[in-house]
Amino acid sequence: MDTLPPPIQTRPDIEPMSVTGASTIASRLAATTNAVIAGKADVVDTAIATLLSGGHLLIEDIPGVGKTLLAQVLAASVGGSFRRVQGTSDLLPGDVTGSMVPTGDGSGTAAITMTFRPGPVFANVVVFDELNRTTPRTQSALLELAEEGTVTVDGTGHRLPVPFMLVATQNPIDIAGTHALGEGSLDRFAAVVTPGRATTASELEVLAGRQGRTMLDGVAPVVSLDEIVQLRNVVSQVHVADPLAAYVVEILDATRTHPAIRLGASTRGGLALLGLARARAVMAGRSYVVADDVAALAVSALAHRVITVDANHSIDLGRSLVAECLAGITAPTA
Amino acid sequence: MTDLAERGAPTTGRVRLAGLSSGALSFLGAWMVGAAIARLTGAAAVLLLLAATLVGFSAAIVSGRRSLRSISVTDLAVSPLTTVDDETAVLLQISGAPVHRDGVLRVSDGAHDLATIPFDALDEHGTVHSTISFSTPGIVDRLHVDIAHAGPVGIVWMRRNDVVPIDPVWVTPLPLGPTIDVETASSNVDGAVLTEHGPKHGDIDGVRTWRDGDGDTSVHWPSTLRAGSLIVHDRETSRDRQWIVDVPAYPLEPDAAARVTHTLLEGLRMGHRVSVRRAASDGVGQPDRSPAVAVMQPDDARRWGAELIGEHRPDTNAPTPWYRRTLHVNARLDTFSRVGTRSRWLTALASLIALGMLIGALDANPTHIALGAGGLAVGTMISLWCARRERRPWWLRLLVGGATIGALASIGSTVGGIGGLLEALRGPMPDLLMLLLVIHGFEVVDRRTLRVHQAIGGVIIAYATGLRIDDRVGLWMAAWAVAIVAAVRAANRRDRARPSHAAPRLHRAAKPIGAVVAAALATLAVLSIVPVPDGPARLGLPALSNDAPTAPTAGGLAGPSGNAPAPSDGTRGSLGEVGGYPGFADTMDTSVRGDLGDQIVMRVRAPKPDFWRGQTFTNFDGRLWSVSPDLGRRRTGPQIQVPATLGDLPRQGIAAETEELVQTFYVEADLPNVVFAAARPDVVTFDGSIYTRPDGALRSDVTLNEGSVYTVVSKRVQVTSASLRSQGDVSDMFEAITDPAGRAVIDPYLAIPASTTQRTIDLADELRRPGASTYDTILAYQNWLAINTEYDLDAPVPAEGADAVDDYLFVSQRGFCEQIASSLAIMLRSQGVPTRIATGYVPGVRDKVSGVFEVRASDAHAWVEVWFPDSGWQAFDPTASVPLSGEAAQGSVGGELVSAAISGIASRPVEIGLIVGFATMVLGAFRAIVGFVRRRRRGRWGVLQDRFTELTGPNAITNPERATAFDDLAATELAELLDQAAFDPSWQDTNESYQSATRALKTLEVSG
Repeated sequence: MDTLPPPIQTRPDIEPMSVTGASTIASRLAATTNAVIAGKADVVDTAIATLLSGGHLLIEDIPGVGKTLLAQVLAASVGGSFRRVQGTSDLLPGDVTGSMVPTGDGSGTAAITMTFRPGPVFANVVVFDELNRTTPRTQSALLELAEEGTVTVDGTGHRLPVPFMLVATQNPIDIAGTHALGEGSLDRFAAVVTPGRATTASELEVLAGRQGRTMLDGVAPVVSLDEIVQLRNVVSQVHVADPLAAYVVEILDATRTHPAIRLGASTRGGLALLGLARARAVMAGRSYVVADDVAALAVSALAHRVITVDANHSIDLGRSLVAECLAGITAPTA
Repeated sequence: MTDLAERGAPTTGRVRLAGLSSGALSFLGAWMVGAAIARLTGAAAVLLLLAATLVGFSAAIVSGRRSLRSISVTDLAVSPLTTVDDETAVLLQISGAPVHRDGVLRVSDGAHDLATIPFDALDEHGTVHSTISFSTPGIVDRLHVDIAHAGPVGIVWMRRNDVVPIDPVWVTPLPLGPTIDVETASSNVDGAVLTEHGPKHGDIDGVRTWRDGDGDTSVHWPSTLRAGSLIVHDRETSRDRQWIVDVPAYPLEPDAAARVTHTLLEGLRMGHRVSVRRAASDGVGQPDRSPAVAVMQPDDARRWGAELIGEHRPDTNAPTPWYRRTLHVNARLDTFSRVGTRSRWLTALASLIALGMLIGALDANPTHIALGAGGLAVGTMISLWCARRERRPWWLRLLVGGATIGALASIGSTVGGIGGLLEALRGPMPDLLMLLLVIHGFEVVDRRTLRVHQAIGGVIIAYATGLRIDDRVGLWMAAWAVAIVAAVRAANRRDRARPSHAAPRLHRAAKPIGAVVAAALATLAVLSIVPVPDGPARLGLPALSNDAPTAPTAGGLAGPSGNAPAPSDGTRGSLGEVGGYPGFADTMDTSVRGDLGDQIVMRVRAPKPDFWRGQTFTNFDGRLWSVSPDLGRRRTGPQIQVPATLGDLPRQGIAAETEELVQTFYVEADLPNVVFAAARPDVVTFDGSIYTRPDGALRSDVTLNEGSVYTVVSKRVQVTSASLRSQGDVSDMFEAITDPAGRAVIDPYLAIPASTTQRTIDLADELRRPGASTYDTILAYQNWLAINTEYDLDAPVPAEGADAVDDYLFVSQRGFCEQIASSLAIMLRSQGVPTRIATGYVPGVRDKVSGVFEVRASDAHAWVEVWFPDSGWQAFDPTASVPLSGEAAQGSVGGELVSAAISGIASRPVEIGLIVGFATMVLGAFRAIVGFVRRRRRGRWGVLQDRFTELTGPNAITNPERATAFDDLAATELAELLDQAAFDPSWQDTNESYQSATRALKTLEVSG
């Protein structure tokens, strides 16, 4: 049968990590990633915050700006297993989750049993390229398992490895043959980032081979899986002051009352935002969240969760609308 | 939408004067009334007021100009396609618009106003979304934005017309269809290749044989099977249809061009191939046509429209003739005319100051002030109540109307015959003005009435400034100025948060302080070219007398209480009355001088200083001077022509350069019936009768008690030291007179008492250098007296029977003005120079703001008058520094103010230091209290946070974001500390961290 690692959400035998230690590890992670990804420090920060908060990341951008590379670097520097799935229109849920296959010993005498062959999602970091090319059926199966952390095939639950992070990419330009992600599916991503084109200087670095994919081979894991779990524990204990929680609620509320937004951000969005803010606090070496953490990540965490009146599901529009909401709210201060 | 920069920058128009704010005309009216008051009273302080308000007006214009220039249109976008009279969205973005002040943006296409947007409608980014509708079809690629703004002062409106290029807007006429005849052509008549382009246009027309390029979907299978070869549908798609639009070579009218555009767009919309064929020449109906140009995209179609319209664009820049321009920018825009609470109360304060100043000038009475203050306060409250409800109840109108009529009736009934102008100016006029102010206070509901109210207050201030003669005029004016400036500024501000600036407090404070300093300097500059006014104009020579006791004997002397003053009896000590100087009696004992005290006895408004001359003494007996017994003739006022007396040369037909000196005497203490005047009075305006004595002195028939006012116009002979010196030794000329009549006139002025000692005469002979002019001799005597004798009010009384002059010159060598003057007179008489003694007052100290001489009891004085044949009696005094009439420099109001300020600061450094210190303390205490309250409310970290937030402005949301604006580690540290204080659960409020945060904040505030 499958030899999946047991759940290690909490392991009493591991020394609790300090915030300082956590931030050191996080900065190591950031340094490694930045060494490969040229000139996208803020995107990398959001990606790492997503990793530390235990969320999943959606990278939406035009081709060739390093979407997949970002996911790969993350996986490589975490030191866990890494799988990549290319989204196509004929990809079935079973291709992703894994399926029951008949197995025997080959002698033909023993009874053939149906065993579970794990799909590509059974890895610590799963990169799902071009998520919007798959059918909605596959999309929802994937996102459900990402949310639950378990794969259920033939009534049997199979736990995904811990930590598990899904990094999906999608191309906003490609219209033909794509299936836009539904609201519910989008809601399961903790954050959406848009790396955008590199600056001229960064592009030069990439073309000269000093940064970019050529550097990927040199990336060694800088953090162990255990440490990731510990980091997540640290993140979950970061203090959020009441005014900040109220601030998040206010932001959610603003997206719900904005005239250009048909459906505002969900409570899950608020939770994701707080989780990201906590992670960002740890990355800055703080044991408490400040207003800046929330403000800096609000757009990434909420842009894909609002449904605009102007349809066509543009996350870009959501981004600007959330930024507008954010600008209208006074952040809590001393 | 293209960027504004790509379309070209807006053309900025010239800043023009647009008009006055409603009600601001009353300011001009008030200023003119002030000018009239200045002309009437000749009060320098009114000139100060006028100059300051003039500077204020100029500042209003300059600041309005500056403010307007800093406003610019940063974006203007209109939906690209619209129809006539259809509302279309417009976005206008303005930078630098002060949204908390008055201003109007008018968008027009040059001919018609499209939208009127008050600054009020702009959001904090200066953006406004509005709708406009075009009334004429055509292509609009530029809009006019007319920016009108009244600046921070809000009195004078300036406007500027910017032409802003926009993305072309296609305004189509309403019932527009493809009314242009198009030449349609189908491309498949010759069997063009069938493609899948475009939607199917028509039904299947038929079939034809396959050709290369036909799509497989167009194969008609039944026919193919039947024919044995490939047969395809022969069908027409929209793409196969071509529209050719013929246009003439000459430019089109805008709506014709719009029609062409619309036709092209319609063709494109239907999927046809569209092209334009333009006539090659301007010949109408010419068959030769240039090849059709394909129109591929809607943009091409629009470009065609723009090209076709050519120079037939309407002239949009025709200026409005001047007579059609409105004085007020736009009556419809007066949407924020409701008066604000703050400005209303500030105006009431200014009015109260004006009222207080006026009442103070007219026998201050606390009841009056309380009544005025109460009336103003009630008026303010009621008018604010009305303004808030935007209606005026009928009972208020009735009340105001009734009160006005009643008050006017009561004033009318109390006014009897108007005796003099001053009586009118003091009586009904101020009552009327005050009443007007208080009653008008009930009517102030909008800005127009508010400004009128402020103007009435200004008139009252000018009026009071003209009337007041005390030394607190400057303080009153300063107080009013502060209140009125605050009120005017507040009136121009709406209840809307002003955009906070990133500038630190120090910089923000520097601006108004700089403005005040600049205004003060400008005022002084204006005043430096304004000469000190020549006293009251002839028109308004004021005279006023109270019910004063009449003199016991006609033409005789009367003391302040009406009794004849007792002749000096040689005793010393206080004479008991302020005006009881012994020089104002029929005889003057040279050895007596009372303790006169320091009380102000009169104020004299005159442009230049002079001796205020009262009595003339001719006869001396060695101790007592006595006046001549001739009382002169009684003349009845108010206008009294003073006849020429001895030595009044110009009046006797001798050519001499003279100058008019108008003096108004405001008597402040009970004085005897001696009428003071600068030498050689010509006309006296006096409410009573005056005896014009042959010795040149004037006496009234009543005593001059407190509150009396009279005016004297003197003709001063212009005398300089050179002109005196050139007259040589005058004794020669008087010796030459030998006829008895002449000697009878001259001899009294040469008489030496029998008691005069020989050593006195010897001294006089000795000091007089042979051949020296009389003027030099006088200077020599004065010089000797200055060196050898001493001015001493406590000089010993000479022994009984001793000659007073001898005693002073040789025995005690101490004395006061009477003795000094007597000595000089007798010494000169011994040399054959006619002299006499005059008593009166020295000019006193001139108050530089009100321009009034303050004469105190101790200024009573006696001096020598020497008869110079060519210029008449000339006063000489070794102790008083009164310049010769021809040498008194004509100062300017500004110069006097500067010298007053300098001497004021130099003379009272301690007091000024104390006041500054006290003010600093009060300010400090106020700030401490405000700070304490804020700390109580926000906590000390909260206060720090507020300061940091204020420093950085509203754009940054969080502290780290604010810190990035500085590029300073201190900012980052401060942001961290503040966030810690706000969000860290384990945070402890320590003094060290607070201090380091404060330090960091201060660094940032200083560096800006």
